[in-house]
Amino acid sequence: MHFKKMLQTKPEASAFLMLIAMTFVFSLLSPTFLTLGNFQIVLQPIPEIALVAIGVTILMISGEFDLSVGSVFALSPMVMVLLMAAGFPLPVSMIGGLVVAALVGLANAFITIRLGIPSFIATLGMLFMARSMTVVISDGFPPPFPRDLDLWWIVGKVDLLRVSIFWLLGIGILLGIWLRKFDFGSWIFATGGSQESARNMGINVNLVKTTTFMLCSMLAGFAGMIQVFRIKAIVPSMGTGYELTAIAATVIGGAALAGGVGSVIGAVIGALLLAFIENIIILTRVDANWFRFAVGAIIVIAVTINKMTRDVAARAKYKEVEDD
Amino acid sequence: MKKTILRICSAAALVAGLGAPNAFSANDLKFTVLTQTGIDNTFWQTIKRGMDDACEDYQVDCQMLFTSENGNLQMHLQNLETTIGQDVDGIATVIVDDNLYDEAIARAAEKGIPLITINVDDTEGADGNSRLAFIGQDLFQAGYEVAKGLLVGMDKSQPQHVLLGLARPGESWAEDRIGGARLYLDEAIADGWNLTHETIDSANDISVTGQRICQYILGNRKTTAVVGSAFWFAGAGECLRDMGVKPGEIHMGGFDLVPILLDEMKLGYVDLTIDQQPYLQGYLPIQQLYFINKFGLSAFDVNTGKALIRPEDVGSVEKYSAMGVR
Repeated sequence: MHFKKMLQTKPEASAFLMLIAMTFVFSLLSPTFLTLGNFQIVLQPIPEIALVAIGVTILMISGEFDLSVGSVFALSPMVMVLLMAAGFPLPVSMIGGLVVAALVGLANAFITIRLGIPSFIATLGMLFMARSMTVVISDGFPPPFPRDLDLWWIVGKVDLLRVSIFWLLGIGILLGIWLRKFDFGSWIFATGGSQESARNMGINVNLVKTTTFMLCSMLAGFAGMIQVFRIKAIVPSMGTGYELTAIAATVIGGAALAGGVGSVIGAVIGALLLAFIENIIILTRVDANWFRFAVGAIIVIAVTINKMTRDVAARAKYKEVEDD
Repeated sequence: MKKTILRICSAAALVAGLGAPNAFSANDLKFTVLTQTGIDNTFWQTIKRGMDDACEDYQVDCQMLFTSENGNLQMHLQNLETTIGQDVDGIATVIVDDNLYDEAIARAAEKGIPLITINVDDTEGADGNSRLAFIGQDLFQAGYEVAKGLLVGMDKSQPQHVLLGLARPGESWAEDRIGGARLYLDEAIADGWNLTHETIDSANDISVTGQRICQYILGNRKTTAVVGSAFWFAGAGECLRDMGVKPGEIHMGGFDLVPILLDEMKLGYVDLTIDQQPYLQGYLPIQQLYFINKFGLSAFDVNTGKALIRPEDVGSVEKYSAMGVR
């Protein structure tokens, strides 16, 4: 009974079960899947997409969307690289990039809250604007990334892992605690659950949403920087389509599109599941023309099983209450 | 630093609506260049630079129309039809589908608007529609040359497995290049090479493509070579090093000149690339359209290149790549 209750109250629990089940099935499909070497490759981009997914999840919990994260993923590191090329030290350049990301989040919040435009539309517009700005500020030709930089502290290798995975863990734990243990975290859930009720309770809903918009953009910008540090190159097209991947990871991780439900760990699990799905499709040598079909089909199956698991748990709880 | 601040200011100006299209209109001629790709494609920025320079040289009013996202053929077609409706004096466009654009191109011909294809042509060439000329690379032949160039450095007596990375399944430019590579590999097999090959959807993002290639190689350790259908395959260099793959153990080749690809060439992870000289694909159509309008001259096909660039050539092309003209 405790297990069913956990499935019902923890949105990420069924995603975690899915992760275990898929890991088991995938290991049967390919002997390479569960090898350390494979995990080393699969885990490399996880901090990047998971950080974006965490930002999207927290914003979604507060009841809003952000479709501009893929573009901010490119804009923020582009600003950083240009500032570095202009002679600024790395920390200052990073702060410059993050400030631009925060400003994008602030603009998203302003358009959504003050102008009353649904965030889906406001951030769709920002998706195009931010991408365009990425190209404009680099004049279409970003400078080469300086390969001699010491980046061990952020993407260096620790045995099979990259340091960036520890950044993900650290940021994830901090944000998880912030969401669950601090008042502001409760306000985010309350705002997404019912904006009117939250307002009646005295919660500054606009502040909550502005904060989550800015946090979402900054996480996307920071994730983009990690990717640039890892692959040691920047191209204006990086991050294209990441908004959809992040939303998929968020939903797979148990967040509700309507707001009020979700978790940081769920976003990370969702990102892992998506990476595993793509990995097994490559390892099992799915034909090129069927690749996207296979990815899409497995995502739909994963979300369906996830939902069914929670529905079963919810029905069990309802029956339990009725019996009492 | 001043340049960076100027660029950031120009971005702000764009947001404020102050960004203006090219306006060298001393001749009152209006040309439009169209593509199916987004503004964030570095390769197309080189084509745009060629176009910009030609428009300045010939004092004509030019506009390049990108799509909001890569590969949006419907939007590209719509842009083409809108451009034809505007009665411009000349059009240069890609044709990435053999049938989709035929009616629109015929309408341009009916209206007397000269239309030249650039970068990607109908697979049937001049027989496919009523375009006047093609300026670009013979994509199929270029793919053939990449595969041929890669096998030069490999041992015929040993078993070889080649991964073909199809960046955008269904788009003719990618299918043609990989098709050409596949043909050469099949010919090599017939010639006695102990060789196998397989095609995957390798995506068009440096990080994603790199990951997919490395994951494939991890699952298929017999892989000895990779052919990319563009430049994104160069993203595999970093994870190959993580996997302990030494330079030269896996041969990689593909297309275009971008900084990451040149870097990987210097590090020994990319054997060759084909430079199709995109600057010319932007410059020459404007020049031809100008001559057609001013002097009634006819358009002519230009193969902008199938030259193989190898590591020893990097020094000579790097400075031009940095200038955005190669």
